[in-house]
Amino acid sequence: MSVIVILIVASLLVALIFLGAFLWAVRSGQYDDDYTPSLRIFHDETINKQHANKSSEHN
Amino acid sequence: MSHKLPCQHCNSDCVTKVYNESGEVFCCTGCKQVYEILQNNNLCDYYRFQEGTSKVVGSSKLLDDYRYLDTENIRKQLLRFQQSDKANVSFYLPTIHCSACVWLLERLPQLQQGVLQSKIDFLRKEVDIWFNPAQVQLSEIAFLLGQVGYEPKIDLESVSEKASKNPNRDLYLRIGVAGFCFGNIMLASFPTYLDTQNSMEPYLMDVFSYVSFALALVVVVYAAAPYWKAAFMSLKMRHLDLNIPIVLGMSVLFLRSTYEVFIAHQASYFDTLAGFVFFMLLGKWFQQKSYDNLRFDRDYKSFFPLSARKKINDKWIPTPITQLQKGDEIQLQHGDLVPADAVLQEGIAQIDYSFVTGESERVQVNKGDLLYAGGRQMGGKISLLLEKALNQSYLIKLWQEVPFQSSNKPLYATLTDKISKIFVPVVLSISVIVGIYWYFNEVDRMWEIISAVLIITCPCALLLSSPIIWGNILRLLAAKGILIKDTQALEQLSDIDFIVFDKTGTLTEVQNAILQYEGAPLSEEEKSLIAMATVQSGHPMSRSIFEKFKTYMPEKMPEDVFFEERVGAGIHFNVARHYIFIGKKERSENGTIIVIDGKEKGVFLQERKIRTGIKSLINTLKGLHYKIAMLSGDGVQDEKMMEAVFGENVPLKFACSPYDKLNFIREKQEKNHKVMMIGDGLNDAGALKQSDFGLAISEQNLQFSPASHAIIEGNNLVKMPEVLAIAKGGKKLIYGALLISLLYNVVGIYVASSGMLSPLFAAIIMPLSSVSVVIYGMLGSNILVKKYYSHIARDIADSLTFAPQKTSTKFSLDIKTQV
Repeated sequence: MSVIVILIVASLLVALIFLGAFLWAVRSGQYDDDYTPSLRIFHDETINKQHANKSSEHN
Repeated sequence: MSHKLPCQHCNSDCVTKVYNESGEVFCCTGCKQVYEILQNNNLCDYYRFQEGTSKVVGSSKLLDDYRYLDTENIRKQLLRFQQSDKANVSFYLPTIHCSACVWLLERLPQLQQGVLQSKIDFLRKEVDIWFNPAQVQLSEIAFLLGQVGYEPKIDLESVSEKASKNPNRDLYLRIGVAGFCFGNIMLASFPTYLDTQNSMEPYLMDVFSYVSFALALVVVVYAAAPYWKAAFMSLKMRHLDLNIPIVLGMSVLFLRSTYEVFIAHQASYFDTLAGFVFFMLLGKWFQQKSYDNLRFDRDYKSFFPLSARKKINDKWIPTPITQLQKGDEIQLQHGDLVPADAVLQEGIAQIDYSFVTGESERVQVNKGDLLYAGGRQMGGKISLLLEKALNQSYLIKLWQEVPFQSSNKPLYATLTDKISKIFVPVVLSISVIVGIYWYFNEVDRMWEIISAVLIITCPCALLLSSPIIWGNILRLLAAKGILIKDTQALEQLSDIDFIVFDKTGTLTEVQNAILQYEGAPLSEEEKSLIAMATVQSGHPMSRSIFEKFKTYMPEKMPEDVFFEERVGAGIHFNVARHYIFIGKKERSENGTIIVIDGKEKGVFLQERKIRTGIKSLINTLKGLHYKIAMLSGDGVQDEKMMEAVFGENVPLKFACSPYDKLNFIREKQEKNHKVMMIGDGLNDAGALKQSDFGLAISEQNLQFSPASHAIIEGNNLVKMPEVLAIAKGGKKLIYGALLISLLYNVVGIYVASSGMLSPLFAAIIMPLSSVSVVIYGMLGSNILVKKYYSHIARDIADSLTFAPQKTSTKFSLDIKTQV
């Protein structure tokens, strides 16, 4: 049964990694603006299309 | 009579038409300007993201208007970071409104060389720009933003100290840590719950317990730190609030569990403790959601510009207005704000005091007369001699008055504060009684049971009820256009019994004055002439005349027209042998005369219009037994009209100074009334702040409103009775939530005092009570708002008799008058 102690330690370590990732994300400001990215999400795609159209015109 | 022609840029109907070189049609030069910039930079994708009509129109400001930003003094204050090749600035752009705006503004580097990166915060309506100061000047960036329709609002507030860090970050961190610890303690505690036969090896039990202890220590020390701090503060101020029982419960939980782990080697309550802190923090987060783009604590700084042109050695040099002194000579242009009380030296001053008094009619000031800070010059250049420094001016002094120092107002005791005053003594006496009972029966178990009672009475559900219910109502109301500052303000609203109205701008509409024509009937041709003459002017009177005759506007403006508008002297207009004059006969006279080909045709009179639905609003409020009063800064000329609206037994006070308004409210408060003040303009600022609930009416995209508890648009005013009812209903809901948490407490106290409390029982009943309060609060407040809102929706449909104003017309007209 003592293997369970190792498992506990391992699971805690994995969880700590995720906690660390969360803390880093908050500190680096990723949670400061939780609305604008939702507006930004479609933009790049259309830009690429435009570029694609342009390059095909040139060909 | 005319077929519809959508503007290429804003997609709205073109009343006047402006064509570009390739023959595309625009409704105004502002729209054309934006379109051309986008076209030249291959950014026309903008229009694919655009839905409906665009609200942005190119600004008419010139690059020179922004030059002051480049002076070292101002530059230094605006920049957040500065290096020789990299600088950072942030602007507030009130016109941001859709995803296309974000798309366009984040492509600033394509529009302007030297801009390295631009990033939008949509809710705050802010753009954060990194640029290379060697390649591009601050003024050029601001100018470009204006050109594409996002004129930055740069005012004194832009340079005052701001918290750069999001205040929520701290809370997020604590929630994250508490959640992590809660989850892992649960994991470690679970085996002990399943182990009913005590068959687990003792050393494993200890390992689980030690892990829980370590995690719980983090929760108590870090995640719960704000509660320790708050409890300490309230002890220091001898003010009993809910933080005391929270901290008490927390300490007992922690100490008892530590004892169980290290001395008794039993299962602990750490899972309950961590869950309890986690839920409380979540409640706090729910309550803290606020509107980032609205500022409720606005002071004069957000109304005043950054700089003014001061005369130094016969040159007009932009100078920060905080550095202006008495005796300085300054120059103002069209649209500039008078920065401090001053005497007119030169030029014709037409001052618009609308955001000081709410009165939109311009005041003509003669040479040598005093101009008050906050007025806006409309018309030509004027020069002024300052009488006072900025912070000595009349209106600024209002802010330094008593009510603006928040500490002078007694702290509002919320419902939960009141309850905790009873709660704490009751819980303590119950534990003493239970302790005495066990002392005489089984003295060994006395401490165990006292601590069990303290654990189970921990007011987690109680604490959650208020943020959940008020927070949810706050959000639901915000979606309906009623923006309230915070949950405490909402609670204060539920106590209101006295409502004070301001007149100008609150009861009367600033913009929609009724235009009346008296005189000889006008022919179709004459009407079309009047439309052509007024379309070019930006004066409010001309605009309302144009609104009336715009259907007579010809498809295309004739080529050879002569138009001249002199400030204060009316419009002269010539077209195809016709000569038209529109203006005042005598300066002092009321009404605008129309002269066509030398013949006086008639007079236009403007009558201020009372908002739709005000009379029934007043009657409804009276029916609900609210006491009502009206305060006006104007003279008594509207007394009859107001008497008709308010009926009998309502005090109507005219010619009130800002101080009179403030004192009126203070008097009522001394008579134990809870007063709500409804007003707009800076002259109500004192009264709004002094009142128990200050409601600011705002017309322009909620941009300009003094400090208040809530901001609404004018046409939402008729919803007041429903909003008041919702606030009252919210309070009842809270009583309901208290009852629920009390029921759980009664069960819990029974179990604890009979000595049957186990960690498993605590771990179930505590979250259960919190969850039921949350579900009850969410459902209850949704039903409550829906119930009243079905009325509101109908009323609004009725009251929307006037069409929403199109901002673009206004902008374009302004441009033309300047050209």
